[in-house]
Amino acid sequence: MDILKELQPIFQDVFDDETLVITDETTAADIEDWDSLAQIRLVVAIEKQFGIKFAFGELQNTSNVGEMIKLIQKKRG
Amino acid sequence: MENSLQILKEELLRTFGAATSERTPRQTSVLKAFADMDKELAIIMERYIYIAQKNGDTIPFMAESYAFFLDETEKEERYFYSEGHYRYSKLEEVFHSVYDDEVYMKKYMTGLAVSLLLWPQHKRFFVFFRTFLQTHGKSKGAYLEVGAGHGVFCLEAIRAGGFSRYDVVDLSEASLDLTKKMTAEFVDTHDIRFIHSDFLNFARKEQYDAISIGEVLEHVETPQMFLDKSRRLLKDDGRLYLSTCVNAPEIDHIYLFRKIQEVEDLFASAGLGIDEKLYVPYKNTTIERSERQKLPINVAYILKKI
Repeated sequence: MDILKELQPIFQDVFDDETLVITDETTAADIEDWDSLAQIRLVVAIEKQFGIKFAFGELQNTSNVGEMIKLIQKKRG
Repeated sequence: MENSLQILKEELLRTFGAATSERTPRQTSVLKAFADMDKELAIIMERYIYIAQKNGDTIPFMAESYAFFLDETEKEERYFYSEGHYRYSKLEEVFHSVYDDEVYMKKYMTGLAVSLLLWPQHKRFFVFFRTFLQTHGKSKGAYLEVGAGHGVFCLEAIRAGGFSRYDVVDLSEASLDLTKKMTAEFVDTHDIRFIHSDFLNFARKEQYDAISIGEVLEHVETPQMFLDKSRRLLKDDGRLYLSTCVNAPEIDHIYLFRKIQEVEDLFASAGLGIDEKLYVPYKNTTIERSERQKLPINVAYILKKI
């Protein structure tokens, strides 16, 4: 399964919105509730889903979902 | 003193990013908080800054401390969502890791005080507290504050409550000292006793017309014992102001309430009934969603004996 598809339900769960569809270009500015707490919940959920660990602030530095996916790919090796 | 809030605002904006046309999320929050500020709270915060400056703290230090406080909060949120519980559950652990570290505590408490000004839920609680004082203040009454913290609520109690006597009990000497300085500077009340003690060991036979226990229950191992003792100290027609939080990780929060009902069950067990209440779910969410997704909820109550 590609990473974007795996991220889809994580985003829907964090933002409590079953209709939410993300793309590589999605940024925090596109989702009203995407604040620092949502970011932390995304980090924890992504770590659990992919069995990886982010350093503090590492995922926060990505500017859109596409960059997030690249970072996940890099972490998975 | 008049411009201290403006200077703090500018210092916070500088701390949270470069002066570019695109604001960082933290800068946006600061601007919104200052635009929505409660006037009375602003007066109290100006006083807090004045006292802090007299104690040698600078406004840049306050801004830096607030940034530190936000970072520390995010660390605890990450721990909480990863592990499903707060980092510590025993007071001894928090003493060892946090309270005994003077440098850490100084920054943490300063940042916490600034958050009172900037976090929208704090403003709502401050207004609720003021209403409690205006409704239940008594010119010949006695007031007890448990947990003085940064002294801001105590100062408001004296300013708006109009009681004739005040007792302030806190486990932290630093908190009592700060509160003492705040009240000595700004209010003409001599009948205040500052008691350095664990509330559970606080021995008084007299009862109080009003008791305030703000943001304390989440810091103790046995909140039920706190409430039982509070009830014993409350006059039959007295009122107790209490605020706490649900699913709100901070380094020194050790008692985890997962649902609002868990808080209210403790009241019932202590023989306390709810006169008024204020629920503040996480921004843009409902109580139902906040509880289901373990998002922070702040709650405040005015309680009476039943």
